[in-house]
Amino acid sequence: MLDITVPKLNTVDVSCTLVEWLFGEGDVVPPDAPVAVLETSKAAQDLICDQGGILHCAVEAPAECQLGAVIGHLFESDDERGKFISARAEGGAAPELPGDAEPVVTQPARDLMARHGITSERIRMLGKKVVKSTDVERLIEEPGARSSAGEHLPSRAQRAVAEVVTRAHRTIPAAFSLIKIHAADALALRAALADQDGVVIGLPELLVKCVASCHEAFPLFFALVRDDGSAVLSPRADVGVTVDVGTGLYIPVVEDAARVPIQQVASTMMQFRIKALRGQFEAADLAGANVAISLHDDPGIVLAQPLIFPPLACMLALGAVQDELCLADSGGVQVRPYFHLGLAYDHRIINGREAALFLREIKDIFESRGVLSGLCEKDGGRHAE
Amino acid sequence: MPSEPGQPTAAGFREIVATVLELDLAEVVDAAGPATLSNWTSRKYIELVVALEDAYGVSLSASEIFGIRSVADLHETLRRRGVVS
Repeated sequence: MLDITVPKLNTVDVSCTLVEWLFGEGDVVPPDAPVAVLETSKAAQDLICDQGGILHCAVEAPAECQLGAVIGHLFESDDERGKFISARAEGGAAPELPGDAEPVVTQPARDLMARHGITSERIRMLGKKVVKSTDVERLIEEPGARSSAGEHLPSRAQRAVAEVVTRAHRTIPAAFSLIKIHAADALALRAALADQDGVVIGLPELLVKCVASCHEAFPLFFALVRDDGSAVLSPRADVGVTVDVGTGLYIPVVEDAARVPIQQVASTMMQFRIKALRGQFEAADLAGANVAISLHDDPGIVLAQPLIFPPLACMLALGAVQDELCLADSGGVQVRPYFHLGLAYDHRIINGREAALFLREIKDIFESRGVLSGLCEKDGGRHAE
Repeated sequence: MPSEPGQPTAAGFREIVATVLELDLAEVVDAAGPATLSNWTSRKYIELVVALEDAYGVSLSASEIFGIRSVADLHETLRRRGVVS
């Protein structure tokens, strides 16, 4: 028997909706077939099982499922499936539910909750393991149900953001460091690359390459932190980057960013912006980051405080380019562009010294036209350790 | 800005570009692009695409969005769509 579990689909959601099963109870599911449709706050995705079998749906769709929850099983034979079902019936086992403490709330029920301002606390007080829209309708009819008039009821996507940032604040003892980086070399390189390849490459794209190039020298900043504070090192740099074009906050991932050429990084990031604009993100675009960059480079923004999205170990924040006056070698006064780069890091595994060294490394790369150019070579050039 | 969506003028086009990229109108010349305008960042460019789509009632394809490297390219793309002359 194989368990069908809910995979981690992105850095924001801690649960997702089982929208529908694509096979019926007892159907034969071939290998590598999509067996169910899952939907996070950001995107819908088929759940594909690489091995086939006879399906037993442990959770009825639609339902809200915690990541890692077992929602079904695949059996090698009808006989094996029959024995499993009989054993459960004889044992009087309750139907499997995703998650122990929280009730499962179906999406229609969630929509009703949002529209009518029904809080999670009132849902818990129902004492039900599965809450459907009819349960919420009863609450709406009760005296004391809150009207949505005059209130702001966040979207599902925003509620997912709220959940993860709250969890981040609650569980991660974060520390923060800030560094000032001179940007003249990076801006000159940006113009040269645009002239050469016609690719729009800005500080965000260069920063993705730059951060990724530090993976080997600073592996802890790319580690995934467990609840107990231990961490799993990542074999490569998969860089999440915030994208918000007015349609909600997304953190898509530039995979293996140290090895792909800067032109491909730029192209990927542009595709992400287009997907955000058109609402076309797929769950795969948003999954797998092991480090993240929060972009706050709107003109005049000095810096924003980055939050660390579990299980990441850190998050960087890029501020806008500012100008300052400085003394030129000639003794005259000249304008010098710079930006701030912030780093929030999990103090359970990273100390201030390492944070300073990491930021200093990024600064050194950015302020060296030669090293930065090397990173932007067509072969995906990597920073020499 | 164009007076009506779908009823644009060339001047309206350049005004939109100038407004979104925070440029003087005189800077919005055909040859202007990411190589010459520091304000033409990838994020600003997407904002520009959104503004032009809204103003002219069109939706550019990904290949069109990727193919634009200058103000002239942008104008030509909209001209092919029949929304500017």
